[in-house]
Amino acid sequence: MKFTDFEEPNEFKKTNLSDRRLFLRALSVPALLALMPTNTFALNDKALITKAIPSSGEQLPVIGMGTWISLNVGNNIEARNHRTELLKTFFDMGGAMVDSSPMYGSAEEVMGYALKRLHSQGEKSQKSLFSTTKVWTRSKGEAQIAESFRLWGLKQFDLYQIHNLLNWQEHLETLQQLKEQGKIRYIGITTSHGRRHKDLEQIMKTRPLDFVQLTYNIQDREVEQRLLPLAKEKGIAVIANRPLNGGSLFYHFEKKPLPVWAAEIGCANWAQFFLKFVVSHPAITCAIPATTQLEHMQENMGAMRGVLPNEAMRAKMLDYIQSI
Amino acid sequence: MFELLQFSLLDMTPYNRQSWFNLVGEYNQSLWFIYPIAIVITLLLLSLLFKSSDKVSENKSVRWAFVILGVAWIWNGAVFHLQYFANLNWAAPWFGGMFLAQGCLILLIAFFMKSALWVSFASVRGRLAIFLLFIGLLVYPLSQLLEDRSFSQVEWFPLLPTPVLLVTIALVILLSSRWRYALVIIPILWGIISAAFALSLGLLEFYFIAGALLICLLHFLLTIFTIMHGKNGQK
Repeated sequence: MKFTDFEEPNEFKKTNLSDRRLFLRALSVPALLALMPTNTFALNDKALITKAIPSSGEQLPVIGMGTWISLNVGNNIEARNHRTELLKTFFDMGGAMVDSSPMYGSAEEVMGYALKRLHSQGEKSQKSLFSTTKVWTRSKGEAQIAESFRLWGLKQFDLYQIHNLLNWQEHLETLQQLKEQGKIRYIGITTSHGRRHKDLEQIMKTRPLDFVQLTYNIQDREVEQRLLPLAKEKGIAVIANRPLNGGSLFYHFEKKPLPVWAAEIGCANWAQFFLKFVVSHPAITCAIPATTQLEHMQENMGAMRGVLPNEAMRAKMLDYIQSI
Repeated sequence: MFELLQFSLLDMTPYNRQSWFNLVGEYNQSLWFIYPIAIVITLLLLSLLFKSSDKVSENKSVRWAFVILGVAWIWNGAVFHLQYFANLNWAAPWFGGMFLAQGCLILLIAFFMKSALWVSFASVRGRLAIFLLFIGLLVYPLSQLLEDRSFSQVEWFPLLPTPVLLVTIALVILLSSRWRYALVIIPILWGIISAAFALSLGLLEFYFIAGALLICLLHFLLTIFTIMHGKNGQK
């Protein structure tokens, strides 16, 4: 809507009338601005940071949630309810991607429990869920995939991944069929701890993938050499697992001072420093830290707001870490 | 099994300490009615070991002690691993299989071994075994109260794997039959796996299992020394 849309015909332009109309137009601007999406203006320092999934352009918040260990609480109701609150906080703070796997014990079942509980409580925030899980079996994956659908209580998964490249040829075919049927939206493949990078590279070069998941953090940057540039070139979204190196980054650096200039990029603590480093890489789409602590979840989600470090700032962050 | 080989220990421990404590607590609470039977079985085992009787020969006492042990392994495989631990750990079905195999092996050997006798309790082997038995039945469970566990989360023989492991190694060391070499293979393997899990979770269990495995190793070294000393003596 432009101001020129309100242009009056010449015969009606009289000074006092046009002054009143100009004033009325000016009053409409704040109201219109309030209706715009919150991430429209990148200069707003509370803006949610999202990145586009290359294969579709869909925007994804850059901080997701991993469920390795954190959601594997078995049948303990108290622990399940606590994890439900954790998930609610995640969604309330703008999170979307939640990543799990059949390998993670009861994590998928607990995820289904939490989603159902949030729904029964009348919560709406979980509607932003970007559901992500994996197939992990040497045999045909259909049964395991069906079980994951049942455990999560979903009719469609946003992203289905092949866990640690296990039986990837067979599972890739299965997932492609599911994608054609509309049961999954994106296909991916995962690895972690630097395993099987050569195999992953070959698959990325030769097979159609929407996502890859790999280990990337400020201490483990091996993927910067080949895999991240390849993902960028091929238009494959990248999920960074172990963005906090399994928590060991805090063990090394927690007692060291956060640099004063970290505030320039909106980092108030080490979690945000480490996470912003990861998600600011041009090839990274999303990072998936895992936590069981509400306070840590809030810290992690803070990395999804404000500005991301540019290349110069990333170099400065790296130099600082290497110097202390 | 290929899945097991490509993953590290941390990959096979997809849960934290508290989840493990909660699992043990839920297991104990859901099987509370079994505990009186478990106590009777434990007392029976001790009676078979220490209380001589004219009615039951040592041969039969030894066999019945191993029957109790075999049933304990089968229970832990079929119930604990397959029905409870499988909720937390994808590898639990494999462990359940191991426990079932060991239980069946113990029962077979209990029935078919020709000579079923204990070594002298006053011997070095005997003392090591009694010490380990005391650890497995009492010290290890009670030590867990130092780990922020509630009483309901404590692991007791014969219903949980580590006390069963400790008692098994004790009885195997006590057994004079050569079948003890076959009986110790799976316990040693499980001991190494379990100790590794315990280490990754920071549990005291690691030290108990490591100690038991060292005692087991010491027992075999003593046996080898005795055999060699005997051969040298014959020369």
